[in-house]
Amino acid sequence: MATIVEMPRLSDTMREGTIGAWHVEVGGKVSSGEALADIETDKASMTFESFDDGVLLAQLVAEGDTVPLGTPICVLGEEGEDVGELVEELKAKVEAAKAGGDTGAEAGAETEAETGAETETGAGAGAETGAEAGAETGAETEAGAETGAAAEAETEAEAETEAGAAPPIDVEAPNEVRCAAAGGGATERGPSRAPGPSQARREGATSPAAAAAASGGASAGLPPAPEDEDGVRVRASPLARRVAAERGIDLLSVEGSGPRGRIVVADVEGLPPAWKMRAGVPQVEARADETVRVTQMRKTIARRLVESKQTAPHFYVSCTWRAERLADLRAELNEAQDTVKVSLNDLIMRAAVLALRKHPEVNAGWEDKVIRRFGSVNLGFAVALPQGLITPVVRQAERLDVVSLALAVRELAGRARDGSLEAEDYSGNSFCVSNLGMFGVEHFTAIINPPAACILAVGAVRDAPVVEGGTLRAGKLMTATLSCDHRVVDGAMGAAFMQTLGAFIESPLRLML
Amino acid sequence: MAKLSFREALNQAMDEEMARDERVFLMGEEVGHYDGAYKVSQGLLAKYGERRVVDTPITELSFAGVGIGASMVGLRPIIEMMTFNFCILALDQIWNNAAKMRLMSGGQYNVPIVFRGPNGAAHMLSAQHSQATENWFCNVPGLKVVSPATPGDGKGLLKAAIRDDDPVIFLESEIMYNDVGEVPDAEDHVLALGKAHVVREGKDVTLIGYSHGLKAVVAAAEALAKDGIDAEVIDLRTLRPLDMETIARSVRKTHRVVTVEEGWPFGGIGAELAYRIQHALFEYLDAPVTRVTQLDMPMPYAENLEAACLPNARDVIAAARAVSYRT
Repeated sequence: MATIVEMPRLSDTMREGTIGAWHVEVGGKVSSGEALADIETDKASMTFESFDDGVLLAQLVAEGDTVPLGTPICVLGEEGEDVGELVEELKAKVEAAKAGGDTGAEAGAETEAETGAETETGAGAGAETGAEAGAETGAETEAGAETGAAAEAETEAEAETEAGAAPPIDVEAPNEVRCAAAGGGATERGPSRAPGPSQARREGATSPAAAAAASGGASAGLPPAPEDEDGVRVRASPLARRVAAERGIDLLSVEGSGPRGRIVVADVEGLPPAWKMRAGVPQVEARADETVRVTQMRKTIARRLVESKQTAPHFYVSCTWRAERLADLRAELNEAQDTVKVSLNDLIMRAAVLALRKHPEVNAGWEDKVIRRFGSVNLGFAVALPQGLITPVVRQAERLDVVSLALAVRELAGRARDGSLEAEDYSGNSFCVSNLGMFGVEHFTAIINPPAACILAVGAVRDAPVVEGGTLRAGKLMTATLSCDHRVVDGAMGAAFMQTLGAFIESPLRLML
Repeated sequence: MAKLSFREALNQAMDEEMARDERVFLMGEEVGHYDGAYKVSQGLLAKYGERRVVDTPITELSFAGVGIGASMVGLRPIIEMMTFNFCILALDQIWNNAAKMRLMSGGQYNVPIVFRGPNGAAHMLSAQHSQATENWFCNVPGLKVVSPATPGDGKGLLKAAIRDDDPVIFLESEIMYNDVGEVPDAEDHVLALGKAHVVREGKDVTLIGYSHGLKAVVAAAEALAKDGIDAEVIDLRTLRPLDMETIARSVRKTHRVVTVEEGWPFGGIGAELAYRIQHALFEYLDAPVTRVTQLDMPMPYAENLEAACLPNARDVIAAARAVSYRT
């Protein structure tokens, strides 16, 4: 009896998951508790362990593909079990889920493009089949419908252009060749596809003249057709693209006179060079737009930050403090112990914890009907990863001294970089600290990270002139900006907190108590 | 220049080669005493005798094999197929022995043989006797495939085929045997295999044809000229190997291609040309390569349906206009 495995919920905020990697090949055995796949959730990549014993009969979702929770992702069963029909059915379900699940504009566009391409292939295949059927029955109507020459040729030509223009074809070509050789059903699609390079080599061997002609005309340098703002590829003949590139003409600004708006060479030939300016500008290597897949993490960042910025009325309180003593303390601290190299940010976080204990109204969050004042300081801190931002949370930070806090921060940051954080490691912060000082940033503002009502944006400690007792001298300053959710924290409350925080920063010995 | 019919030109080619080289002999159904089903071998029996002009039983597979064997031991046979529809019976010998012997013997044997006869639709011969077989042969590495369009080319190319050391499939057209054309008087008129011929120079669109199909192409080019489309016409002459150099020179100039053949579309000559042209000349193309072919169905017997099935000048004109964006 086959078991259908569905995309599991691996974190509270997870709405969809991406298969990062399959650990079991189709046909491979898996027992309960063994790793089945890596699943990328909105925050982390997790190993998904099988609940059942059996043989993996089918993978329904490819690596890198994203599906909503509850979508079937694979089928387990007994060796040799025939699940062909079930798999077809489930695949349709997966496709439907994918189409419905993707809400991003880009995802929508992709779906549309794919559907379009399939339709055209389908139409071509249909025409072929029609002709064959007509041939078998000797039907005159078929003969009448297709003149076999011009009319059919034209349709076919259009279809071939579509296939030829689609970038993935080259990649697929060898595959197609294999299918055709095996006598598989892929032959119908075969004729419009480019045979693999191996064939070209063989031909070159038997016909040097042809090879010379081929290499002479090789289309290495043809720039890709541009896409408009909506990601729709401009339809242009290869020659029109080459001429446009040579003359610096932007195809987006040209109207096509060919079939379905195709830009043909006649449309670009008459235009003055550098139509819509391009030439005259120093020749910089053209770099095509690229699209980057939106990871689960990025989707979550986008969703949550938009939510926060749009629902929480932000206001900002900035303060600049003297930081010489903080810097000195850090140096002394690091000489006094070698458990961990304490950073300025660790000290600032410790200062924030102490200040929050004095201002429980800031260590709070908005819950519509009530304001929650958190009992503990669950201190979030922002960690930048190549794939996005994550804010691990140090639980009950008030129980940790500076060194313990620094250790906890190191441990969480390390796991964030490994992608091995569990959901509870990065949710439920009561206050958050974000520091861009290492980039030399003096001042910035941050977006509040719910459920906390405030986030502290910390700039670099910098050398600066300071006035002391009416005398100008060299000192160190740092600027921090508190973003507050005005529903929870009023201006005066935020300012008072910053004053307390500033006192800890400027007289930092208290951080050690 | 002498004006000769296609059959006379081919007859001359065989006559001259048989006179020139005593290893050359002709074999086939009714080539001798009947002077050939289409009189292409007229007078050869009388001139060269039964040792060199051999009538065979109606056994294509056998006499193809006999010919291949003879070529392997030093003779240079011309095997006449009464039509290439019958040659289907001999495909095992041609594909498996003629085409492969040189490779499989490690070069010990070559197979200097010509299989010649009419190919393609003639007139109301129905489904089984109207086949255009050129793409079948072109698919086989080891064979050369030639298909002339004029008497002069027929003579020059047949002489070259007989002299070639590899097996050559020489495809004539039954309905062109009476066509009269100029044949160079040169004592030894030989045309190189593997070279296409630019029949008409033009700058707007390249029309590629061969054999009987070239007539529709030339007529179309003339009509297009009146309409302001200056078509370049290429006669392939040899279908394998293809003269891609000549084609490339033309496509770089015109940026548009229509291929014309009287065979079926699937995997046809036009399909191969379209692949090669788009692959080698992609950025020179302003329109998809378009082909004109016979309809994808067995040939009907009825005269009007046969005509509807075969490509004609009107089809070529429509295709040329389409790729010129002049619809």
